[in-house]
Amino acid sequence: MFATDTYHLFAKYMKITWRQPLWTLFGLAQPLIWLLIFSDLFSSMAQLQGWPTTDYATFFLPGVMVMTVLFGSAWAGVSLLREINFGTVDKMMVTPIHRGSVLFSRVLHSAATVMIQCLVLLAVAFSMGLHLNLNAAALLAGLVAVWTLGIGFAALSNGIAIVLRREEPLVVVGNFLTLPLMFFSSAMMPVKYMPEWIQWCALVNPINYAVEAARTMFVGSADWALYGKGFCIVLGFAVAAFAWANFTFMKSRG
Amino acid sequence: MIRVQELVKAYRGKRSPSVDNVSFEVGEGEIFAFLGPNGAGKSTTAKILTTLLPPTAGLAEVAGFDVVRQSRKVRENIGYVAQSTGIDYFMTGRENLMLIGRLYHLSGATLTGRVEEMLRYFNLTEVADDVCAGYSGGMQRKLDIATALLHRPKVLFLDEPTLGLDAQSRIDLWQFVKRMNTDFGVTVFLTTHYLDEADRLAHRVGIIDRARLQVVGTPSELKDLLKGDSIALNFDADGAERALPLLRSATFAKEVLEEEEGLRVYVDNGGETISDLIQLLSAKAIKIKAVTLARPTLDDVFIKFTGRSMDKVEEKVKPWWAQWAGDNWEQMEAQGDWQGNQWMNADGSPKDENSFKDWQQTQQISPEAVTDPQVTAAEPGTENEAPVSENQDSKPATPTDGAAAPAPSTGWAGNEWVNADGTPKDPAAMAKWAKEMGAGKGSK
Repeated sequence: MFATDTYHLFAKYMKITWRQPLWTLFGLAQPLIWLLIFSDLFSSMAQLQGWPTTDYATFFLPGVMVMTVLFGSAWAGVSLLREINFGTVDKMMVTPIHRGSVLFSRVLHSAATVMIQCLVLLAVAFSMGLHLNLNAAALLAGLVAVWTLGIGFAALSNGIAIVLRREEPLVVVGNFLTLPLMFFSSAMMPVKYMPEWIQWCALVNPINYAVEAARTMFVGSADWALYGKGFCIVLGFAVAAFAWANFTFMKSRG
Repeated sequence: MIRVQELVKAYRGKRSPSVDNVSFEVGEGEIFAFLGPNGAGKSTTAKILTTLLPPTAGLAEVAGFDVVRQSRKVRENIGYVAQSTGIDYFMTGRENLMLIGRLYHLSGATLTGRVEEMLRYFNLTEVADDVCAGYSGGMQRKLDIATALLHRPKVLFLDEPTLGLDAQSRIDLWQFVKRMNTDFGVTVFLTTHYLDEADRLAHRVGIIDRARLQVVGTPSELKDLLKGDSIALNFDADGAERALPLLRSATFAKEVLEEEEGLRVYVDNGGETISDLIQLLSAKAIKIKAVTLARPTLDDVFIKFTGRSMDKVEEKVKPWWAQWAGDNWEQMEAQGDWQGNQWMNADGSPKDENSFKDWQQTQQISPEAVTDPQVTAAEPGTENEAPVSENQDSKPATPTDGAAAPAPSTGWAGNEWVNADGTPKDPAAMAKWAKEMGAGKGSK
């Protein structure tokens, strides 16, 4: 059964993550540090004419969540390579589990750890007095969009890992992708302030749609139409990324 | 329980198949060992039978199911223990067992019951709640086997089960495999490159070499094929050549094989024959350097069928350029694809002209002129493996003419022990070197 097999493997990964408290601690601290540093660094940008929010931190919160997703999921493939080398993957593949659950449980786990970070971010944002939407449905919807993006990126990282087969180039590709994707989105500033060519880049960047969808839910006017469009694009990206990764994985098995 | 017919596995980009037309059968309750050197195709066969790899051609059935068309049914009926343990180091022994049990779709009381049973069976109860990272190699292997038995498989595949284990753990593990075989009635297919492992553990052995199954039989059947003991002889100089016709025509010799370091004679009764043999040879003034009498072992069987000894088959050495070629080196080696990089040609020679001349010189050293053991790396046959380091190693050696050649003009002025022409700096050693060089010349 796909669902139960995925669940058992997912539980295993969560358990392992839980056993590395140092990782969890750093993992939680990092986005908070980003939020604090960037909010302070760019605080004067909020004074630009037509800036959508009263302060930069409020604007940046969805951005830092997506950033967490990007940086957190980009390395998801590293542990897949390790599991392949250790024989852990072979051990799973000789059991009669659903073939798709091997990758899907990994991707779910990556997205879940990122989600925990995002929840902490949200809690800190509240305590910092950021002007968030206080609508539970809107907050949930925003998190779902971020989570879907996490699935997509973790799948992409796993797929690239299988293609590259080695950790070092995977790290290079990860570095190569994350920063441009980050800056070619409205994570740090609204698209309208960007040079035209970057605006064009943002148009085809799934990150941008995830940020837009999350922002309208967390700090904006909760525009469900805007959210729906953004979420559909992110969902499409995630489905395509996972389908590609799983295809690559199965093909690599011979 | 296992039926394999004309099985072929060819990887893309490799010239010769990894498994070539292999056919055999394993009966229910048998312990069957695939014996062969590294890279012979043992693990590939095991991976095909455990559905981890699809075969290129041929038929493979395990527990009555086809490994390609009914792979899921096969998986439900087999356990597999790979060379790399595959257990999760961050989890405890019990957690590993519970997880794998769940992946085999066991649950509730059945699952916990089986887990406890396995922990008891493999004496792991005490460490069951310790994280596996702290387990010894033997314990990890036992836990690995335990996870593969949880669902009561009909066939258990063990890929090099005792690789890397110490002597005591190996014997311990052999006993477990034998006990499992009787206690659970599980058919065991194991691969190994340890002769004693196949000999002591397996009911039947298949010898595989260079992707082909050479022979199958019980260990004693295989040894009987040799009909007797073997006497290995080492000679000085041309002794082997002169002894060969004599021994071939001798009545006591059933078979004489030429080996790298001498001859191997198969006889009925080694103890009695050995004196006749020595008499025969000393009558013709052939000096024997060493004689070894051996009861037949599986290695002798291996030699008979493959023409070489298991111990002599070395692991596939990575070509020296593999680190620059990445993971595709095997493929590139097969295709002869590696074209060198910006500094080196594909044969390891430098691209820089000056260095190339220097390199050429080092390549021309004849083995006879080599006196320094360090320089033996310059022998043909090894030159593809490490010419880069060899470049430095062999520089102090002298060129073929044996005379003190002028130092290469590239500016290597020797190091603290050796001059640029390879002569030692120490005066005493210099005298000895000169003498040896003279002797080397004389013997040619």
